[in-house]
Amino acid sequence: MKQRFQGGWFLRGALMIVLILPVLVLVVSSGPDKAGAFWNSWRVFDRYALERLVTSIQLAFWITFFALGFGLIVYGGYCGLSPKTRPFLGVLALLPLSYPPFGAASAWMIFITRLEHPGEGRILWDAHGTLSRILYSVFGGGWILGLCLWPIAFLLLTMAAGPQRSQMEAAQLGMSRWSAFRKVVWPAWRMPLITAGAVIFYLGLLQFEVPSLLQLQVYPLEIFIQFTARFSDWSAFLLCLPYLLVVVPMAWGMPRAPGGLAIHAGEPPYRWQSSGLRAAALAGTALVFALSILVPLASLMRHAGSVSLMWRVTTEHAPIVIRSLLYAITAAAGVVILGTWFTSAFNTKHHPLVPACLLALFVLPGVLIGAGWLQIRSYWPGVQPDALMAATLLAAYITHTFLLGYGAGILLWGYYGIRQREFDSLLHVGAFPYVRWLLLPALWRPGLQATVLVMLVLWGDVGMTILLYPPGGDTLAVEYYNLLHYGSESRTASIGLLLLLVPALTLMVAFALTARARS
Amino acid sequence: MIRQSWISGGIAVLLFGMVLLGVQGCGGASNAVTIYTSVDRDYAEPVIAAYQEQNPELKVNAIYDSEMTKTTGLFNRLLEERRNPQADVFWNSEIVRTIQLKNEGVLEAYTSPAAQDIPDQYKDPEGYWTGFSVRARVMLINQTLVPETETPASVPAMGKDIYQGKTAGMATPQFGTTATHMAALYTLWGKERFTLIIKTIQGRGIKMFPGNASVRDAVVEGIIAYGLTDTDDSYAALEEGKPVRMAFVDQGEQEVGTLVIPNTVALIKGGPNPENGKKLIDYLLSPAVEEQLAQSRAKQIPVRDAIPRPEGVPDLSTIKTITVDYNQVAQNMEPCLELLRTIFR
Amino acid sequence: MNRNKSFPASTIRIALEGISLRRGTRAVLREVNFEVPAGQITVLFGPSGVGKTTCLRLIAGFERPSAGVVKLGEEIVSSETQWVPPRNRRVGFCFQEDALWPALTAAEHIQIPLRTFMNNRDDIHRRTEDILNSMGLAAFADRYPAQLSGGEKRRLALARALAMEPAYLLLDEPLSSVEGPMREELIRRLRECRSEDRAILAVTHQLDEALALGDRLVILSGGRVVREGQLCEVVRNPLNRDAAQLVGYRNYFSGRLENGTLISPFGHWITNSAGVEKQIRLAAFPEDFRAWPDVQGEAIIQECRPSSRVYRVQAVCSTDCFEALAETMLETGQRARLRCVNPPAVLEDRPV
Repeated sequence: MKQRFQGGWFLRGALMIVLILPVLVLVVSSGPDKAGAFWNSWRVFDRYALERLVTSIQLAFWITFFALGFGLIVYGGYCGLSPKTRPFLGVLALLPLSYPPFGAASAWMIFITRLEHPGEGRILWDAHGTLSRILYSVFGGGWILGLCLWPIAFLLLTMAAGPQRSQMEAAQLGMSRWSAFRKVVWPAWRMPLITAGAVIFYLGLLQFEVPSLLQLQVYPLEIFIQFTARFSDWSAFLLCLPYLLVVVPMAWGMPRAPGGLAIHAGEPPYRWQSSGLRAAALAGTALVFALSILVPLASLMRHAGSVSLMWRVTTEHAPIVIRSLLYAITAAAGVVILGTWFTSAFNTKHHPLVPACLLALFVLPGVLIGAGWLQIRSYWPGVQPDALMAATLLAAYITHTFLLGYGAGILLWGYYGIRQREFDSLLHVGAFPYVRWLLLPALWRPGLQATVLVMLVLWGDVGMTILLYPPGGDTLAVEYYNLLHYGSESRTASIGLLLLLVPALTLMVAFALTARARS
Repeated sequence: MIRQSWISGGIAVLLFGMVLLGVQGCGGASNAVTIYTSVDRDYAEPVIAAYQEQNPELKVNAIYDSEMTKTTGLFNRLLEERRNPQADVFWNSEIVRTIQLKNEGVLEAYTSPAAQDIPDQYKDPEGYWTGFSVRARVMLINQTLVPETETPASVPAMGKDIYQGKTAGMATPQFGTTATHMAALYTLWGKERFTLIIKTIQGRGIKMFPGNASVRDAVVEGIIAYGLTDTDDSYAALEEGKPVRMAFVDQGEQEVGTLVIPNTVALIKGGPNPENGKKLIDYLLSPAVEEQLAQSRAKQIPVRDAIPRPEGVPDLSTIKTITVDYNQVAQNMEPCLELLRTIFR
Repeated sequence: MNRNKSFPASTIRIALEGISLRRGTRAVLREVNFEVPAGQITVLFGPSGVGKTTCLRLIAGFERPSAGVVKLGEEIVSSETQWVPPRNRRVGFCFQEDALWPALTAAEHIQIPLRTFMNNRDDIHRRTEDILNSMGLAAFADRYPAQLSGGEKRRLALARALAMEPAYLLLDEPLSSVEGPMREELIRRLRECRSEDRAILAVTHQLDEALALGDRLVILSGGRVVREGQLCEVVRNPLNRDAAQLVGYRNYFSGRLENGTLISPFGHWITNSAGVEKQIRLAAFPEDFRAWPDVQGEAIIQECRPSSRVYRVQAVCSTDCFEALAETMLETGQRARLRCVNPPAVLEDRPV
């Protein structure tokens, strides 16, 4: 029955309408005027678009291959650690998510350039040498994005995979190692790997910025050409339809996902007994971390040049860093808070329409959502205050990533506990005291962690930000992305370092703050 | 409880931060002017800063962009905002997009008194935009690879000449000044001849790069022997003493000449501060700004003969330029891009 | 229903009238009727899965019945058309899982409910101390639930429920996972919660818990109430086989009521039912049956195991199985005589 916040369907419906409003406004305002134009506009689906789709699929395949591979290696290292040290690895594994993929790509491009042209620090954008040829290909794109996205595979494995120690010990009685792997270990890993693979593959299809840097002709390029070169919002939207068509069955599958992907509690996963296996797993883990964190970091630091330059760039950019952090954290907090409130209405049932809409908003390019919000904002009469511009930027961020808030809300309510909520419904207490006395103390830790993770997604946004930021309010990611296209110089590399270190530090601080002081 | 105070304090900081975000100036003040510019920030910012200094009572709001930004641009922002424009002035680093904005009804005609001495070919007959400080399309040549006696500066012949195994290069033709250059050639040659020439160039295996600056870097490093780029990128390399030289493309007798691409400035229709916008346009079109841009690292070529040019920057009258109607170029941009899309896959 | 409204103590009672609940195609509760008066602990007893916790949840307002009515006092709080929110029912609930707030100390667990109706900080502080003292938790005021033992957590959950000053206290398996002296302690404290302005309903599937805790017993089986009444009365006279089985009767046999005498193969007893003659079904506890070796005995021993100072025997007589006590060890297959040493309970055909 009704628990705290469980009513308010009207408000929730209103929120859903607000979220999908920018897309509706964009589609209605940009739709073709005449029937003839309507049928003509479908010609955007020509064979060239199909070729780019094939390239995107190839890229997504390699991304998935590498991400799952790296994720599995690190998970192997995780299983080699004692339960006490595992949480540290868990937090470190989030670091690759803190760096925008295009930043990681630029660091790898500098790295490869230096290998092939010692003494040269600029990105030379060329598939001249062997390594460059490999890098500027779908394989190279898969490598770079695999190094960025493997934490997704790792997280799903740690959340849902076993096997547990008791299962392995039972398997060891009368089973060979290979049989134990086939019959006990692999069934425990299969579902999380399949889920992670599906998520990463889909994210790979959406990739644009990294392939753009690597000069790969991918499907999203079609969308952006329609939007920025042809000024055709409608054609850009049409080209997004294949993504939306995939989203619908995914959304219908999502309510069943918690059952299909059982999150285990209690006993932690099995620790490798063989010291050789542990050593190999930990070595593999160290290698993955080196490739995904140390190589970009070292490459940028080397290219950034002197410490004094780095310091100067840091102090010059302090205002933009603070502003970028504030945008990202404020929007992320909004996403998590609103998502938590929104999902408080759902106990165990999730109507598929809700995640379907939210998935659609997540997969649509941010620029289209930003364009929709820009049109909505234009209804404000007269001069728009900077606060309004900033607010619409935050609204666009929230619209685009509300799916993450929805997921965070479900997890947070699960963490809080259904029995807790039932007991709370017996208390005659107002909404604000309820939040202050009960919800915040219980949920501020996981809530803060969720906020920081959403912040990482928003930190690297370029498309929505460029469309919506107020004068003088651009972000570090926008500045860096712009500078990249002019080649890469020491100053640019210093900014790239900031782009990496600031969210990484934020992540570390947040998880240190939320580490439990008591057992 | 102490912990609750801490949590409440955290919420207060977050709310304060949100207020900080919004308080970036008194947006809405009537004594303000907002300019959107796609000129490189390194060049545009000093110009705008100088204007702010001269007019301390005025608040000058600037939003910067890059023509190379593929994700989106100020053009989209202007189009989406047209119901209630927030910008007063648009300063573009090229011309075709400006004409497209005019065709979309985003601009308002304004003939600046400061533009009287600007040649008519750089002004819209209807007064919607005015050009100044041009860049030209050039071939940047690696001196180590290409002998002094040779100057591979022909666009149709790109890729024909290979030097020490290195070929030519250009920026992706769907964006920026390269797109404008392609559209101009399309207009000049017609669709069939243009298709033939471009396919031939592409078939020679020339290398593609994300932008003109990347082409410059590749020439400097000897990745390619020569590359099609702009004067501002080339002058930057020359100033650094790199082993390169520059040649204006297609200067031969039978050749079409190079494309000059002016900066363009226009008044936004329905902008919040039109009078302040006009004053800013007057300033941007002043000889002082042209001189400032000429003396900058970009060494943009003044359209006014009287403006002193740095060493190495030629007089426009000494360069053979493509004679083309920019309005037609703008009209042909879309079919040209569609054609390029099918060729460069 | 709110705290400010006062009720005469006699109106404090819980009543379920005709309650049915379906989940999908499965009928969880069917036409359940029982009452929980104030001043006593009523235990809702039955095997796992029969709907005991569901009854608690219906009373608290966490679920809604498919048919029937839940009344608290004179007010209908749940029905097909009416529903009063849980927070307006003055219900205190102790979950089987405790459902404590992991981020709050023991003292805060008491303060939060108090703050919903008290404003004065000193009063809140004093009342918190009183409640913690009454539950023996004063020393743990600053501890978090993770730092408490199972019994301490249970007492804290109870203290929290009592802090709400509920008119209706609902306890879900209050003694589960609590053993030894802690269990006795908890039983004592639970019984101290009885008062004339409070109706208490506890749910358990353990007979010894029900017997230790309850004043009244309501037996639930197959989603229905099969017996209801004062504890001793229900145990002594289960009236039907379902109830008898659940309260521990193991021996079922036939008898005859004749001329005021209850006659059965295992003994005769004088009754008050003079003038009634009929065949009846009887039930007895294993502790009321004795077995001893007799080569001409009617029963055959199946199993004999020691238990404390006697032996527990399973025997077959005709086709029926019986459980009895014996003073000596009996061999499997040995013949024995069975006798019922105390008057058995009379069973009726249908539940009361």
